[in-house]
Amino acid sequence: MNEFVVSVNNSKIDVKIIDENNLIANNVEYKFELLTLSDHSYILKLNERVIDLTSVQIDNGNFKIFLDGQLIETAVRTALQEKAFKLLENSGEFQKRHTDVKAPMPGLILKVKKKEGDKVEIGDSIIILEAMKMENDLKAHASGIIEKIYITEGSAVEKGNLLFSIT
Amino acid sequence: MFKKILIANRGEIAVRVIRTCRDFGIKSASIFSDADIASLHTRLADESYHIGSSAASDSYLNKEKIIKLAKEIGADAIHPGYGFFSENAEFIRALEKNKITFIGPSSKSVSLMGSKTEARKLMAKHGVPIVPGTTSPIKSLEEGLSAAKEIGYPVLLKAAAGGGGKGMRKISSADEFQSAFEATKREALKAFANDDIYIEKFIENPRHIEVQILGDKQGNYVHLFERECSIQRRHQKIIEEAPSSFVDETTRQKITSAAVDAAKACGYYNAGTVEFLMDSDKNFYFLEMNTRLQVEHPVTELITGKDLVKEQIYVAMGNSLSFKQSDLKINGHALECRIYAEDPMNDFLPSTGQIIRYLQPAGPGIRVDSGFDSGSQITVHYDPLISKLVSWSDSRDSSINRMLRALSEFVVTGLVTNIPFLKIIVDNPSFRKGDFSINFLNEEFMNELKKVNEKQESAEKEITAAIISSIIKSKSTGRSYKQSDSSSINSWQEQMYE
Repeated sequence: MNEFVVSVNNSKIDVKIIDENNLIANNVEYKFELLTLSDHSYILKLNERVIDLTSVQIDNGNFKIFLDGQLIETAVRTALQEKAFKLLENSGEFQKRHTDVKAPMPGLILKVKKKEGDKVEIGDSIIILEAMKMENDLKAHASGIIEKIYITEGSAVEKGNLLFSIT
Repeated sequence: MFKKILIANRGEIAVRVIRTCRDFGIKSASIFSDADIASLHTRLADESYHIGSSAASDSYLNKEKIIKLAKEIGADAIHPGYGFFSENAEFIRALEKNKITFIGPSSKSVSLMGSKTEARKLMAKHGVPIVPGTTSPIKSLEEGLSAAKEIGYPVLLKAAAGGGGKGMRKISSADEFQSAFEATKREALKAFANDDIYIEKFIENPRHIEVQILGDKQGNYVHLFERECSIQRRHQKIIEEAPSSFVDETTRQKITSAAVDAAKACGYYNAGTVEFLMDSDKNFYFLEMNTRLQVEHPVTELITGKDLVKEQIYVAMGNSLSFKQSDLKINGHALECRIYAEDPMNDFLPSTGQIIRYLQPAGPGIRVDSGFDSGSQITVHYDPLISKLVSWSDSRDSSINRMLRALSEFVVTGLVTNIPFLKIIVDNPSFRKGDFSINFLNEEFMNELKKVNEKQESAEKEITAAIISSIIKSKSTGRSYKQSDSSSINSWQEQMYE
């Protein structure tokens, strides 16, 4: 039996895989069958439901699941990994590193609406990134103070480039 | 008949044109950029030519390369699709010089309709109703203030060369005028290299109604009835339908004859669309004319049974239109949903990457125009439109049911798409009743939607996502599961500190 703790959005879900066809998720028993169509492409039969989905493992334990047009990101950890993760999470260091905001896609920085040192609330608009002919509003994901802005107006960024950080 | 048509476009519209060429025994040649080497239009055309790197400016917008290629391969004509060179007068003139036929209007009509103030002047002269406002650019703040007072607030300030919702500002009172005037001028200069702006009356909650027209070089005109495109976000259409549920027969006669007058006014030939705003009393006002084939043309094809691309090709060859107004009637009701790679729940953020699985719907009354399949890449270089899903049935209500059925069948995985969002709109009671305006997808609607969505997602989908990732993780670790435990901690630790 394999036991996992899966982080999805803001919740944690316990999944116990009993054998090839049975599992327990959050104390509910399921029968399952997994059919692999091609790389990343699966048909999952969960009890009587058949679900067409894509799953990409971005690195060990972190998945992107595409389900009915939506993207759900998950982090799967074993019980031991979860324990270690919690220790790190509480150690401040983790908090700091995760206030960095990276470019979700390549594009052009059209506007930087805040300065370093500005106080921001969650949801405040920080940067306008132009990509694919559309303007995208990049918002603060946490309340705090803008610690650093790594880019300037008019500059081009690649996906994953650091944009700003909030402390 | 043309022997070979070069299609200066990509994606679904290039595929659409290839199909008509094939129906009529004309050879098609497509062009492709680095990013599109495996695209559907590249593979479907009779001949395909690499034109440059992925950036549009180096490939699909490289005028010299395209014209040189057309001459080398002996293409008689170029079909521009929509976007890119479809409304570029300079490109049309260059083709004229090189004796290649442009499948579209004359450069003169394109230039006339390209300037909003010129177009407004021309329409007013020919009796086509325009939104009350100024017909020439305003020169000074004083002139603007007195014009706005005469028209009555609220008014809109608009860039003469504008489009796509850029360079536009609503003003509710004289106090706001000065700062808005200056800001709009700055924005217009930056976006369109032209700071001419004009004033229009602001129409509350209008509907977007447009009329498809066709004209030939002999001066014959027909209209193919109206389409309604009120379901928009940031001025980009999402759902279109024909006919409009709001337009009655009397209004239809008035608006379609105004559209034909508009086409006549600029000596237009080719397929074209005259766009209007319609207020709640069914008064309509000329907005602009699109001098090209439009994204939403399939809904018109389904209710009239005509092939608009075929007529474009006939007319470009100098033939008369193949049918008359009296041959046309509205048959049933058609809806189009644009399937985009974007996330409506996250401010419509575009989604890029590979389409891992693509399965399109079919069945009675369903048409899909698409340029993609499994394995295709959606890149930042071009529009995030994946496919156009079109439904037809004898009534609006059953066309909506078919659309819902088809949306449920549509599988696009690997990217975030707007398919779940489209289902919600199409099934919305106000949409079903036909009770909406261009402000349908307003902030309030979007906020409500997000709340509902968050609730739903937290239940079933999160569990499913957790289960599938656990199963895969369990399978991938397999027998070596225990050993890899410590090393996997290291790897995700590293990742966290990257």
